[in-house]
Formats: sequence, structure tokens, C-alpha cells
Amino acid sequence: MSATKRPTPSLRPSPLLVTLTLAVSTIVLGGCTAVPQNRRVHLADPMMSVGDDPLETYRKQKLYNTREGAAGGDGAASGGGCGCQ
Amino acid sequence: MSPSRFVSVLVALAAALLVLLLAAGARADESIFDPSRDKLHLDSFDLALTGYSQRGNGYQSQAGPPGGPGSQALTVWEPMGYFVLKKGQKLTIRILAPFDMVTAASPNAIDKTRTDTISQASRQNEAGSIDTSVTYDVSKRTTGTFRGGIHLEEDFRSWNMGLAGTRSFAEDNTTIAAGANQIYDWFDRFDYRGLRHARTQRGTTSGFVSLTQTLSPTTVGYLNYGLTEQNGELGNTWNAVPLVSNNYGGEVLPQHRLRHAFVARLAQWLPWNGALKGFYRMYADDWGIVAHTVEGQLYQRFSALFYARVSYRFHTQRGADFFRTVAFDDGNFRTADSDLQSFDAHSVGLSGTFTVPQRRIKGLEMQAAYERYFRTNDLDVNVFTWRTGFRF
Repeated sequence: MSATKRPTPSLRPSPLLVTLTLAVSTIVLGGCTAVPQNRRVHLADPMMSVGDDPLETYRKQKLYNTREGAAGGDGAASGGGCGCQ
Repeated sequence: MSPSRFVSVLVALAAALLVLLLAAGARADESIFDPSRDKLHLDSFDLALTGYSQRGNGYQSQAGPPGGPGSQALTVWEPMGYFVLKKGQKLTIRILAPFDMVTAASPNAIDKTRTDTISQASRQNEAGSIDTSVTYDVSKRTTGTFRGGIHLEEDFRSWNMGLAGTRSFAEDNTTIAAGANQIYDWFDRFDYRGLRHARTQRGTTSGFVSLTQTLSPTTVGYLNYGLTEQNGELGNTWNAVPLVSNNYGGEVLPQHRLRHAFVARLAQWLPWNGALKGFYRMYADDWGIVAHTVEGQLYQRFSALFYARVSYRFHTQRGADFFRTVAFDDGNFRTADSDLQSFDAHSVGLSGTFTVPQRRIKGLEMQAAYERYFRTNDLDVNVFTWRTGFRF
């Protein structure tokens, strides 16, 4: 096979992304006041889990990772596959 | 600094952070360590069945008019099992075992008398995985997790392993986590004509750092950054690319890919026994793909035994620099894979979760879910899921 040309990296963050990142970081870090455990009753409800349950997470990975070229890259391990789905 | 070195440094930093977290936790909590406190027992298990029904067309498929997009229709049935075992207060073992039964995994119009891409794969394909993770609570505030898994699929073999750790601060209001994973895939290289060209492989190294923060008695926030580097054969090897000569050629892809992903989540309790969750994800890689994804989920609890969820997800991505619906046969990078194209995708979902009162076990949970995924470059998927969970 003949020599191939590498694509031009295009990883420069957009102003929108920088602004959004700073806004979210400010909100999160600004909330570093400790909430006592006896006031976290609502946070214990399964509906308030910040992530999905493992089966839901796997189902979503299956749906998106094999259909969107931009899926993955989250640093989480995922099983391999032919990608034919 | 080269991308490879950057990834290596990040993974090394994540590993170092993990070791420090575990060491700190061990010093803080040696006195309560008692591995014989309890025997290994089954804490919970879930059984689920998911069905995917997909329709659509893409230029990488030869199951269409010459030079035009071909069918991507398929049906997948996927039974899954998820088991959680515990030993005492400190050791948790999680086992996830999904199995796929795929029809028309690679629809194509290849001469039916010749070997198809992966024997019979265009008609039917079975695959299975087992992923295990072992989490040890080093202290009340520190955990360490080791994970490993294997994936089997026709000629395809994949192994993965990883390490992760978490550390909580400020009365568990803040939790940071870091981890690293390594995946190795080993598979036959079938070209777009169905001809086999020995074995090939790819390696994937990834790392992440995350922060979970309790913002108020009713609000939780989460941030995550992940970096992934891949090397080797990065395609499925049999995707076709229409050429200007009215023939097909194979994909020509880079042997390296560096991927960044940033995720932010927010969960807000609502006063009427509901919850609102927001999700944003930004992705970029050195193939030229840049994507933004937002998702909203609205939960409503109708009783102590039942809650429902509606969700909407929007994904937009810019395609790979070398995506073409028709390409020259000049050796430059090329792909016609619709997944690497520029498109917008929408997804709407609905689910209901029931808790069935039980006397003999702690809980019996049943969930039904439906999701419809559709995107602007001719692909739509209907996903149905039924899950039953047992808690002991």
C-alpha cells in the first residue's frame, strides 16, 4: 500500500467549550460546603444516582459505541467487538 | 510531547494517584480490617433481555445499488446477567455477562459462493463477554478496584484489565476517582471482498479522573475527563468504500487514534418526589471528529414501589477528515462508514421500574424500558429492555 497522509489534528477547544467548562467547574467547586449525612435522604434515592446502573450503562454503550464514531474515549474499559452493529 | 508519551504520562499519573489513595486509606483504617467478618455471599443479581431492531443505509455496506448506500438492517437479542457478591463489609465482586445474538451483522452483496466476512456473519453472529471487577474498601473513604474481562466473538478475541480507585473527602461530600484500563483485541483480517488476510490486532490504553460533589441536600454534580489512545488495526477490516472507478475498495485508516472526552452530570431532586438529571459530553480526537452530546432525564416517583423516567438525548458530531461517499484509489486515508460521518442523532426513551414486595428476599425489582434512536444520515434503532433484579 502506498504511503498515506496523516489527518490534521483538530483538538483546539472552542470558546463555547471553555466557557461551559469554566461555568460547570465553578458551579461544582462552589458547592464544596459539606452537607451533613442526615440531610442526604433524597440523595439516597435510586433516582438520584449520578450514573446509570451497570446494565443500563452497558446497554447505552452498546447502542452508542457501535453507532457513533465519537462514542467512547471516556477512559472506561469496554469489551471489544467487531463493531459491526 | 508526543500523543503516545502524553497518554503514558497520564496513565502513570493515574496509577500513582491510585497507589497514593490506597496507601492513605490503608493507614487511616488498619484497625477495622477484618477479612473474616463474613462469608462470600450473593448480594444481588439482575437478569435482562434487550432487543435492538435497526434499519438504515450506509455507504460502507455493499448491500445496495453499486456506489450507493447499502443496508445496515439487523436485529440483536442480548440476554445479560449481572451478579454482585460480597464478603463482609469490604469486598465486593461484580460480574457482568452479556451475550449477543446478531442477525445480519454485516449485510452485504458479496458473491454468495465465496467466504463471507467472518463465516456466516452476514446472516448470524454470536458473541459473549464476561467482565469482572473486585472492589476492596480499604477504608470508609477509600476503595480500590481491579477489573478484568474477555470477549469472544467468532474469530474475534478481546481481553481487558484495569485498575481504579476512589477517595472521599469532607464527610463523603466529595469523591475523586482515577483509573486506567488496557484492552487488547486479536482478530482475523477479512477484507471487503470476504478474503482473509491472517490475524491482526489493536491495543487500547485509557485513563480517567473524575470528581463527584454533593452541592446541596438535593443536588449532586459530577465531572469526568478521559483520554484514550488506540494503536493497530482500527477498523473492522471489511467495510467497503465506493471508488470513482465504480468499484469498491477497502477502508484505509490511520494506525493510531487519540481520543479525549469530557463529561459533566448534574442530578437535582424535585420537591414532588421527582428528579431531573442533566448530562453533557464533549468529545474530540485526532481523526477530526468533534462531538457534543446533551441529555435530560426526568424521573417521577408515583409511590414507594414505582417510578418512571422519560429521557431525551441529542448528539451532534463532525465527521472524520477522511470520510468520503466516493473516493480515489490513491492510498490516502478513506472511509465511508456512516458512523464516522457528520450527523445529528436524537434519542427518546421511556422506562418504568417496579419494586415488588417480597417476604423471602430483600427486594424484587422489575423494569421495562423503550428507546428510539434516529439520526440524520439514515439510521434508526428501536431498543426494548426487560430487567428483573433480585436483592438479598
